[in-house]
Amino acid sequence: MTEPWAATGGPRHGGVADDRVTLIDGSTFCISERDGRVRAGHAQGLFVRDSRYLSRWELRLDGVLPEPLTTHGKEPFGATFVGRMPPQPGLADSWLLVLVHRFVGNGMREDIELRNLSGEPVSCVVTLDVDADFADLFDVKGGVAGAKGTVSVGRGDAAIDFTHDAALPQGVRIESHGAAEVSGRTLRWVAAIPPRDSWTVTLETQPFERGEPLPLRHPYGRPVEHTEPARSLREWRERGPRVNTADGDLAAVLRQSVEDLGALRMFDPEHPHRAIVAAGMPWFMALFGRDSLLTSWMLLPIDQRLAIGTAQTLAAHQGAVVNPVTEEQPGRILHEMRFGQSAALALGGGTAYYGTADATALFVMLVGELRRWGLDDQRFKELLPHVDRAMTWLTGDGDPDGDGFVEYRRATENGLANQGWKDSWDGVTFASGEIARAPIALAEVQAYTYGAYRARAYLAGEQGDDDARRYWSGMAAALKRAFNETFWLPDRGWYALGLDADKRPIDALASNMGHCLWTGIVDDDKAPDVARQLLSPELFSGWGIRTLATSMGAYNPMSYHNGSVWPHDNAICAAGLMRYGFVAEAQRVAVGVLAAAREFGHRLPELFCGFDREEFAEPVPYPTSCSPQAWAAAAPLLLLRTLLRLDPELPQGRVSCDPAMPARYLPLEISGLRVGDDELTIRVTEEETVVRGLGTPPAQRRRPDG
Amino acid sequence: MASAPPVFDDDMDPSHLAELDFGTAFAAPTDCPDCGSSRLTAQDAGDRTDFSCDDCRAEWAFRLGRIVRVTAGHAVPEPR
Repeated sequence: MTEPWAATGGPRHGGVADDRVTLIDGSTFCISERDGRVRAGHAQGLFVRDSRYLSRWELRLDGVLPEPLTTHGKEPFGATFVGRMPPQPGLADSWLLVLVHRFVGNGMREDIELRNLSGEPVSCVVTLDVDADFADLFDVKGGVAGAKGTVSVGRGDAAIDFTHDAALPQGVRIESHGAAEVSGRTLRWVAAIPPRDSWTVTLETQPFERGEPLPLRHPYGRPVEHTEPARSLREWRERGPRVNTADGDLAAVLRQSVEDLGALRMFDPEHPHRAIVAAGMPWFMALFGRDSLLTSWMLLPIDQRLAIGTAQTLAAHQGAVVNPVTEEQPGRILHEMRFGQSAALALGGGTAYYGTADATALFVMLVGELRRWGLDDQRFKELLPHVDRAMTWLTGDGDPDGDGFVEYRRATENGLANQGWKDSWDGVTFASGEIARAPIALAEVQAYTYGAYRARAYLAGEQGDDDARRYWSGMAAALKRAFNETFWLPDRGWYALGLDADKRPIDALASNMGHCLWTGIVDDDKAPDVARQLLSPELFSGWGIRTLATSMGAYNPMSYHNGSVWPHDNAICAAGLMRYGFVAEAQRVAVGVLAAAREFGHRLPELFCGFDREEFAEPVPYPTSCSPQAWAAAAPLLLLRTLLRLDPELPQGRVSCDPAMPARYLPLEISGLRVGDDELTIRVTEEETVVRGLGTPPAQRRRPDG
Repeated sequence: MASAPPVFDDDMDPSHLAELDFGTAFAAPTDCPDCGSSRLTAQDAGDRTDFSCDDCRAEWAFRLGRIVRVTAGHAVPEPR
């Protein structure tokens, strides 16, 4: 049976073609072509602990690449590449089958098998060209890979050794279990295969750090264990909410969200039952503050476990001291962390890095929202001190010049140059294309900070602390006033993307201001202009809102942050549009993104290219996009909530639901929706909405116009 | 409480149903897949978290929604 190369983590058959195969195990992953080849100069290779230990891996038979037939495999860490020797000129068929069994884990093992299917003996020369550049993972993903330090090549007995003379000395040995000739970066065998017989050789790729080999998880001579889907091992399956809709694509997208977020599940060894998820496969298999906070926010109506686990985990690692290397500061919520004694990050070299401008505010917002969804008193009391430490950071170290706006500038050259969600080096630019200079105060960071102030005021009010409620409400009002005075560009009709080091408005037209709608920091009289810009041809591609408008100097639809479309960004923008009453606009964004999901086989990737829908009938994939990616997987759930206009305030015993679902999804029913002690069923038809299950008599509303 | 009027036929295409059972998707392993023991303990395994069975000593790792045995000592044959 031919299956996707990874049962829960791989590209789908159908939809947009994806020619890459990715195998993963812990912090090891290998990206290759569908034939198993790792092509030099591409974002491919074998990565272990954030370094690339193989940058080339090309098998040839008599100097010719095998012709790929298919790829088998249902294990995340293993696959079999099936190919054949290309037929001789003038012949239709080949008699030599090529099977490459690859397994990754702290390195790589590959079993190469040639099967002679003919009645005649076959002989051929097998060569394997390899290389290692030890490039940093993030440099490879960003397309700027290059070894920092000197790479030297040596040869052993049937082995090639690469050594990297750098701050962290690294090496890798590629060893043949079976006699081989070694020449430069090439291993060579002569395979003489009797009729109906086979020839095999096993290769181990073993990384070294500081001279010590990493223990291979699938070494030569050991059979490989097979996996079981973790969910099928449980005798019980917890009954969660069910969505029934007239639109099969919407249902498929939602089902995929569950699969993908479950696949990204991580475990804190100290608290394995706290739900947390990695940001994305394969590049970001670690806990990221911003990603996990937004992902769990998006899930809140359906499941609160992820939000609770995320808040507890981030609280446990909240900054306590000042450390310029990791950019830790008291009260700051981390940017990225990995569990495990041997885990290490490229940024700062430890297990946690704190260089983010927005995670701290998002943490406060999430705790406030959790409370609105009914977070119990005990866990709320445990989180509240962390909320207050976060508030101290927002008004202190987060705003070093004291102008009332949270800003960022990295503390060392190793830190992130940009510390908002558009964190590529060129992710924040002026309309001219000029790159903005730090310290930078981003528009959406002020919006999140406003949301944090309001959340803290809400929590205070809920506790009966009127002084604190008034204080934080006043802080929110002051920030909103200052933001609208400083960031609004009346001659342009949009908000500045941010303020640069000289407090100049960064005047690019970008999606960031959609996040400002989301938290409510936008003045009512400016909201129509914002909505108009977000849906303008310059920003809206037909599949979604671009990160940067086509009219901007830095626009590039194939870039990471300067013109691409990010599903999570769009879900937040849609929520913001709906918040301000722009129903048709929010629907248009939601329908566009969900249509794109259909084209990607119902799995939304991290991002895709920003080409106009009228130019290409299908969305164009971004080459190094994570898939699955946590906040992209969660985005359909926020879109669903947005279209349902579902809003809780459980401590006050209120739930608001006023659906604005496009007709194509109707009728639609959600059953088993846990809201506090109640289990709701919401049924939406074109004529009416029925909500049942609340403690109070069932509410019945007419569907609003629009 | 009276039941709401049905809006879906019983024979509606099941592909239009999405079960959002995140509780199961996010649950930590609780029982050993081999011996069924509930004494499964999380442990730091370097760059990931493994689960060790206190009874049969099997060790398990969670990978992209799948669970796999990682104990080196289990049923390891001689090198070929």
